Amino acid sequence: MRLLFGGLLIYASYDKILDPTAFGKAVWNYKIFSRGISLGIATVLPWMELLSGLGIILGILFRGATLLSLLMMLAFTGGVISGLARGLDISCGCFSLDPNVGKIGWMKILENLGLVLAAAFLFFSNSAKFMLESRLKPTRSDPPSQATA
Amino acid sequence: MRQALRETVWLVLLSCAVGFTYTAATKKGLFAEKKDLPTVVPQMIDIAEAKRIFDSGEALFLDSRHEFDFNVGHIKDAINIPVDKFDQQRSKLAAIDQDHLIIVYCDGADCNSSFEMGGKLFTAGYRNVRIFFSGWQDWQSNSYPIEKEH
Repeated sequence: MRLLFGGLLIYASYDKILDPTAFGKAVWNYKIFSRGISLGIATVLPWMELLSGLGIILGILFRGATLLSLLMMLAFTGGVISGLARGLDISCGCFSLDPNVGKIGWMKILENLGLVLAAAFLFFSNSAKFMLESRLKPTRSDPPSQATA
Repeated sequence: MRQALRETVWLVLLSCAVGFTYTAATKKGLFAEKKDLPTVVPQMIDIAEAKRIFDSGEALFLDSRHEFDFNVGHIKDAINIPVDKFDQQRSKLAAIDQDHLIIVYCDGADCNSSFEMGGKLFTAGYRNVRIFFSGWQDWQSNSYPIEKEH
């Protein structure tokens, strides 16, 4: 699950990192933010996806990475619902910057809700398996025995 | 939960630092080099003049927006050449005489691509060009004739 979800985030970030202008246009198409703010979001958000994805796969800053991905998924889902409610005929901009691919609709909302659930599951799971951060943390030494009086 | 929030903040800050550094270094996005506006700027016309010219049928209306925006809706009978694809798609003007009146528009006041397109047309030899600056938004809000591509 971690590999899949983290891999998906990394995949989603790739095109956006290479062409932030096109991603900024995709964000602007939702008609929520100005062009400047859309470009600012396009500058930062792909790196949030990449770093979250890496954090989830490698188990570094895992709690933060899963929380951040959960917040992003909730925001994306809200954006898609908002766009659909306003009758916008636009591309989601989720995994592709092609304006003719991934149009927003009910299927896209269901897809995003699935990702929200996956992110929530990872955030609330307590598994410590294959976590780099648990390997990097110093192990606690046994408490010293009480000194005898 | 506190640890999670702290780590989230670290990730966001790191993303900001890396994102801005990367786009500044590669001159992309926010730091993309602003294309110089042409030194020769075609005359601007307002919505009333654009409509008068449209009704007379004497001009070709050229939409300089992205193909997607054009397909969503455009001025009736307008052609589309996205400003960043002028060189690849200038053949659409092959049948147009260089003295033919061309009205260029884009989204509206928030869009400069019509100016840039006007400059490119001038450079390509089309000298009878006007910029309909208030563009698509103004045309649409006046309920003037439009088309949509399917």
